[in-house]
Amino acid sequence: MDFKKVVGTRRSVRWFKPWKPVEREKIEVILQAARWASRSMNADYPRAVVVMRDELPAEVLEALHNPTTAADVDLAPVYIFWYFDMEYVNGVQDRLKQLVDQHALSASHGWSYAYIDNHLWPQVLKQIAEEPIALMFMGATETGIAICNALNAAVDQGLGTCLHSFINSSELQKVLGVPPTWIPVWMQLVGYPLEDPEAGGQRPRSAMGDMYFEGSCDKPWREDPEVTGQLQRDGMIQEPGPLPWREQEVKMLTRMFGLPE
Amino acid sequence: MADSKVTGGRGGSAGAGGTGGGGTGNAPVPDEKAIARVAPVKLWIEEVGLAGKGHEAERAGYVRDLAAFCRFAGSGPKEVLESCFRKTKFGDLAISAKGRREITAQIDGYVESLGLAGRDAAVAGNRIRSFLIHNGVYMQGKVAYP
Repeated sequence: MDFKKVVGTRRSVRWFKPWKPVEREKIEVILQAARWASRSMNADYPRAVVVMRDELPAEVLEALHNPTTAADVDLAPVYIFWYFDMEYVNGVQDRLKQLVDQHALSASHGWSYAYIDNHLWPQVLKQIAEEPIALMFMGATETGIAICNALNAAVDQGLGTCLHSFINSSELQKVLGVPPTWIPVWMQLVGYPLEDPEAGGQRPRSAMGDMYFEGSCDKPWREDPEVTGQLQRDGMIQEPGPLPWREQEVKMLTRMFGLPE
Repeated sequence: MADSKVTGGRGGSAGAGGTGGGGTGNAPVPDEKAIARVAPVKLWIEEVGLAGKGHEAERAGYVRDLAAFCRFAGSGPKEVLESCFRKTKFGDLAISAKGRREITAQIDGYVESLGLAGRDAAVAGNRIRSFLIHNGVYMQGKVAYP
């Protein structure tokens, strides 16, 4: 699928075909997309545990159910539990030096082994490593970038996907074998969408000029109708929701599974 | 449709009987007419689209099911709802994870007492969850496969 169409087609899909498993290869593509995301310091932030619902022992599946996840766990055939490892700073000096060796970070932009060893590490990175708020901020931000790639990779392969907060209970940590340094970010649900891929239409967004500025914050970005028209043709900007049939679609799906109306 | 199954299938089952459900309280449980007048119940009925004319039978089924659960729990609908919330140290109302877990277990117990299985059991429990959800208790229902 074209990049613009992927971006425009992505929705938080919450209705999956529970009977249709997702091919392992497609999951691997999702993980690879996250792996190749932009990442500061070339650090390994994200960690993910992929759970294929139908391969789980009954008691483990039961442990994943709680009052806030019951329907998600039953409908989605795949869950990807995304975390970041608080120890992502470890080894970052070596990873930055790899970038120097590759001429990705070069003297032209001020980079050297000496800068990394004598200044960047002791004065900046080591301090981040010792400051929990900074560690959390960077870990969450950078993992979010990776997850964004993962979402788009799912859409590109015709899958539905949605992010869901989850309770990182001690029971879940035990079941998944999660190390104590991993911080939970999102549970990504993946499956073949049961709802129409349009999922009732594109979700609302604020106007460009409310979110973006040109030169200074008192000068809103002026949306160009020609660009908007092109993006509509390319599929990035789609019909806004709710489409006329959406309410009925949700009602029918709800009744199909006997879920709360 | 599922609605009639739930209501009709229960008949004079245990759920419609006494309190005995390890309930949220021992307060007298209002009857169905009184339950229908309780504000959170009215809100629920409105939001599921059953407040108007032409929905009398379905509406009565919803109220009857909630009343049966209330009898099982030994609490009125307001008390059932209140058990899912707690006051924060700032005085705000927050969902109580403990209360929600307890009410979820109670719903499971109620469904078990009805002697239902499979889809009917899930639908019966989700009917009660629907009342809680429309009144701000975030939770998810069990999937009932067709």
